[in-house]
Amino acid sequence: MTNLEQQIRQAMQQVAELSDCQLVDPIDADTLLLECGLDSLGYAMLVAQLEEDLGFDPFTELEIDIYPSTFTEFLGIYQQCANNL
Amino acid sequence: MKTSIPEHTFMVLQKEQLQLVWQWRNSSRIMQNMHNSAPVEWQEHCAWFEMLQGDNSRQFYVFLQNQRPIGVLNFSELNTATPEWGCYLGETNVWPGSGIILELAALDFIASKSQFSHLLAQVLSFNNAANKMHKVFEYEQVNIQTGGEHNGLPFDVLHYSYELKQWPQKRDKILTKLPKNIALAAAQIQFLDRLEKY
Repeated sequence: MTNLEQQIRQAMQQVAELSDCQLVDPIDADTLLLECGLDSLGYAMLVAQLEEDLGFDPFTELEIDIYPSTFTEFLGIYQQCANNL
Repeated sequence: MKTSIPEHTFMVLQKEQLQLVWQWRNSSRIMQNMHNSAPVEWQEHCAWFEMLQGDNSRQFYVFLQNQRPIGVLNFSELNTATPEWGCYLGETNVWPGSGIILELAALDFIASKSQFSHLLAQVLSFNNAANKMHKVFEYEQVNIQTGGEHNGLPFDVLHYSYELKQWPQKRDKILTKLPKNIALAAAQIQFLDRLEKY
């Protein structure tokens, strides 16, 4: 597991606790973000939390044609944005 | 910093979008949170659309994100002072916070019409995401009814009401509690073909 993936998983756990959500276990590569246990507010909070932790937000910094659906796709756009820094 | 906040548009359901909406409606992710959790037959869906055309009490919008259809927002009881709404995200690859945009749009749209006093909603008790969202937006839970069984467990139907005269004051307060991108996106919500028949 990369450091970035670890940070994302930690942020997901943190946001789930803050927003009183229960993450599904396990969250694997194909887990849909809308079914990972975070609701729409939790998902938006996750992106805000990651912006604080990582210093960037791919959802505002990248032109994304199709937004991520799965955990792997979510990780992918963070990797892409990190590589662009 | 470059910002890329999507545009959100609500467009009255067109015949060309019927198949897409039918596929969404019959997906297990959507069906499980419906009052009627059985699949809808295509003919039944088409008949529903035909009925919708002549019905001034209902309006059914497709939710577009950067012109791409991703979900629905529907209103009923529009011929009363207390319309009711429902919604879902049909697609899963959506901007983070898209569900909040639906919640905001429903209140913005109905509160902009002076003939309405309250916006009502019904949510099944196991739909935690929708129940929580209504609480964040400060809906009042006004009733609870026995629903039926879901996955072998009993559930209730929670009834919510929102007093629309409170929305203009509460809107900014609620937006400040949400991630900042939501407020940016909220400024770009547009309804096409507003209720011109009223």
